[in-house]
Amino acid sequence: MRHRPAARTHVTGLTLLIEGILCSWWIVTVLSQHFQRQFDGFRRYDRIGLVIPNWRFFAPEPAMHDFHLLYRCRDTAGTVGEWADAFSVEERRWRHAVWFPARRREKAVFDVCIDLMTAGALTVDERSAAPSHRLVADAIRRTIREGESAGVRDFQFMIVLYPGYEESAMPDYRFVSAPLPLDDSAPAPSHQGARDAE
Amino acid sequence: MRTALPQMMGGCLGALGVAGVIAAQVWRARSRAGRFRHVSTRATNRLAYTRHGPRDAERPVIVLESGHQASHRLWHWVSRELSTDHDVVSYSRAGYGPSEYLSRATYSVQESADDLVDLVSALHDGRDVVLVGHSFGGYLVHRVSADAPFSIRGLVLVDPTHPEELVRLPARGEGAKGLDRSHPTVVTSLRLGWGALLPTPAWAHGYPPSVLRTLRAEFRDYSAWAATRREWDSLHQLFRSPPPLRSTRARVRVVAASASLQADPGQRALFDDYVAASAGGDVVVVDDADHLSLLSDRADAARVAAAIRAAAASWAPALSSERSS
Repeated sequence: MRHRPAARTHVTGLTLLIEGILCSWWIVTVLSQHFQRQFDGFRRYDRIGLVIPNWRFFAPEPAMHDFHLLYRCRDTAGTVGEWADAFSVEERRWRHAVWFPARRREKAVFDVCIDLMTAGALTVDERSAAPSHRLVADAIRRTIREGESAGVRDFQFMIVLYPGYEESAMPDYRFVSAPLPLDDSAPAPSHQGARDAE
Repeated sequence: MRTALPQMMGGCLGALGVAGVIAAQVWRARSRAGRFRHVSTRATNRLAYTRHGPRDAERPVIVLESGHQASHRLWHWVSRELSTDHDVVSYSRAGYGPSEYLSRATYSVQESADDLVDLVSALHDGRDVVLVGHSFGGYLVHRVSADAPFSIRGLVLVDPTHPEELVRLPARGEGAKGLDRSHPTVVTSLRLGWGALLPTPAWAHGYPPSVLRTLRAEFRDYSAWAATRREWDSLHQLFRSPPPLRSTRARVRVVAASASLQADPGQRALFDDYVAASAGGDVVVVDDADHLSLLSDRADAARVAAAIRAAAASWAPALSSERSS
């Protein structure tokens, strides 16, 4: 009989502690849902970005398109080939919910394309020197070398914005690079051909 | 099983709500704190100003005009430097810091220009004036210089806003769209105390602790954000179809931050426009400085003050025929 009140007090204290933590978490979560990011004072403490839920992850302007990277090659005779996908988007399977490391590559392509798109105010030469431009060019060089690269002199790449599953939408051609040498130690052809697609 | 969680959540949220509303009033009060003199303008606004330094009849009065979303406190370092040998006036536009916005008319940029004219008219004591403006303040002092009712010895425009910059600098135009979206609910949120979650901008740490404390309160002050929004709405409308820069008979020195010139190749042409629309002048570049460090960083501010002092000394007093009053 003597132990009962003590046990009850212990349980109540633990319960209060847990409820206090849950309540604080809830308050921080509520205060962090302001739709203007300047009021995100608590998020700087959430280093891993998983503790405070964020309704803005897909809002208010969700991404509705994928970037597609296409390239075409020109051989030493001057013949230009067809546009081809640099990276195919892998069709989603159930197992991807557990293990899908290739998704990182799609995200990386998306990020560098965003970077190239937001460099709109730069001159052609400045944009060609941008790290995102060099990353894309090097990745495509590797793709070409892994395939049939015999006789290829240079290549161009193009960024297309496309919704993917929605087939009625027209693709939006956003950027076409200048011809780039397959051998990146060779002098680059003129950059005059690079332009934003219209 | 009994739980106190719902009561706890409701109680905490309610207490935070009350604390937030009180905190908002505390920040407003701190933002207004200090000893100031005041001038009432034709728009009925009540402008608070500070005045430091010797009143030498031979030397011009230097008037410091702040940028958009800024009070006179950003001039702390420059004012301290210049007031060792000049009569320096700094003030906050209506709604910022200790200045009160009382006008009932629909706001336009011209109202701020008129406020500036009224303030200087009340304080210049018949002496020449050097008008100094940072950012939007640069545009404002240039705007009033064309037909000001006092003699202007010259203008110093510190990294000034140009009315055509949204049109001529694409990146600036894009940035303006973001600013347009970010304003609408800020004032209400700050009234509810959401300001506690606003981080203090990094540049503010360049000021001494006493100024930093006030700047923190100003940054959370709903009145300052209301002024910011009011000005931005008018400015944005004006700058989307900008009028040509008016010519002025005053001499102009533009003090540019190197980072501003590097950020956009078109920026230099905008600064040159100001010189071209004047009675002569130059562009001085402060190396390793950016738009805000020109005022907040003590060393950069000293270089800005030196550029102002040198310009004021090199400009001859305005001829009596140039004096319109």
